[in-house]
Amino acid sequence: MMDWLSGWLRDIITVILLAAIVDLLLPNKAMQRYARLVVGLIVLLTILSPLIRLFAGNFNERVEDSMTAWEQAGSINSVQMPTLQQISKEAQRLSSERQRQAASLAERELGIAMAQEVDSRLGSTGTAVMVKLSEDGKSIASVLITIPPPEEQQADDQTDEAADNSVQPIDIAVSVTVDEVTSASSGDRGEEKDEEPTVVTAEQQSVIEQALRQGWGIAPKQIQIRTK
Amino acid sequence: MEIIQIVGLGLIATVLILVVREQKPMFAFLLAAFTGLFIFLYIIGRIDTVISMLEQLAEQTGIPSIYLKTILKIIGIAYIAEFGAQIVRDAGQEGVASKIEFAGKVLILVMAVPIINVIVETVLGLMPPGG
Repeated sequence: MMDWLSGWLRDIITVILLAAIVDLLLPNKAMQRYARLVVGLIVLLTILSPLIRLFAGNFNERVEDSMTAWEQAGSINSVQMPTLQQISKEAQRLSSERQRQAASLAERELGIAMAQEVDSRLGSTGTAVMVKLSEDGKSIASVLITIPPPEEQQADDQTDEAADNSVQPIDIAVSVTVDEVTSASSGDRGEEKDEEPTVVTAEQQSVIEQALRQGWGIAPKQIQIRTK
Repeated sequence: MEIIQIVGLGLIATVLILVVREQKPMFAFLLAAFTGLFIFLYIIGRIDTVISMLEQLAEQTGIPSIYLKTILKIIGIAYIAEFGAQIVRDAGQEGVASKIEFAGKVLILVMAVPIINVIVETVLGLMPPGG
C-alpha cells in the first residue's frame, strides 16, 4: 500500500516537474497557453491513473494504442505526393506502351502493304501477311505469308508444274508436316497437295521473295509462306 | 562565455543591417535572417542537455514514455513555429507570421487529441451502464 502510494506520488511530482520545465522552455506567451493545456491534461491523467487503472484496466497501453492509431490516421490523411522515382517509372511504362502500340501499328500497315504487293504480283486476292518486328522495333524479324488456296484450275496447273519441277514444301514453322510431305512425296502427289496446306510452288515462292526483297529489303530466310 | 559571442554577433549584425538597410533593404533582411538562423542553430545544441535531463527523469520515475514524447514534440513545434514567425515578422509580413503561429498552436492542440480521447473513454467507462 505504502509502495503504491509513494509510486503514485512520485509519478505526479515528476510530471509536474516536467510541466514546469516545459513552461520555462517555451518561447513565448501565446504558445504557452496551448502547451499548458496539453501538459495539464497529462498531469490530470497521471493524477487519475489509480482510478483509471481500477476501472479501465491497463490504460497506458490504451493511451499508446490511441496515439499510434491517431498518428497512422494522420499520415493516411496527408496528401501523397508522388516521388520522382514513381513519376519516372510511370513515364517509362507509358513510353514503352506507346512504342508497343507504334510497333503493332507498323506491323499491321506493313502487312497490308506487303499483301497488296504480293496480290498484285501473283494475281491473287486475299493474301494475308503477318509481320513481326524485331525487339528494338527498327527492323523486320520475320514475315509469315498466307496465300489463298489455289483455284481448281490453278491447282491442276500446279500439279502439272509440280510434276515438272518437283514441288518443294517451304513451310519452316511446322517441321512435322514438312517431314510428312517429303516422306509422302513418293505417293500420289496431287492428292497429297490438296489436303496438305503448307505446299507452295517454287514459282510463287520466288515471286514473293523477290517482291519483298525489292520492296522492303527482306532476306528470303526471314519469310515463311503457307497456303490456307 | 558563449553568451558574449552571441551578443557580439548580434550587435555586429545589427550595426551592419542598419548600414546596409539604406541602400539595399533586401540584403539587410537576408543578413537578419542569417544571423537569426545562426544563433538558433548554435544554441539549439545546448537544449540537448535539458532534454536528456528530462529523459533521465522520466526513465527513473517510470512515467509512460508517451507523455515525454508528447511534451518534447510540443516544445519542438513551439520553437520552430516561433522562430519562423520571427523571421517573417522581421521582413514586415505580420500576416504570414501570425499564420505560422496559428499553425503551431493548432499542431500543439492536435497533440492533445489522443490524451483527451483516453480521458473521455475512461470517464464514459466509469459511468454505470444503463444508469
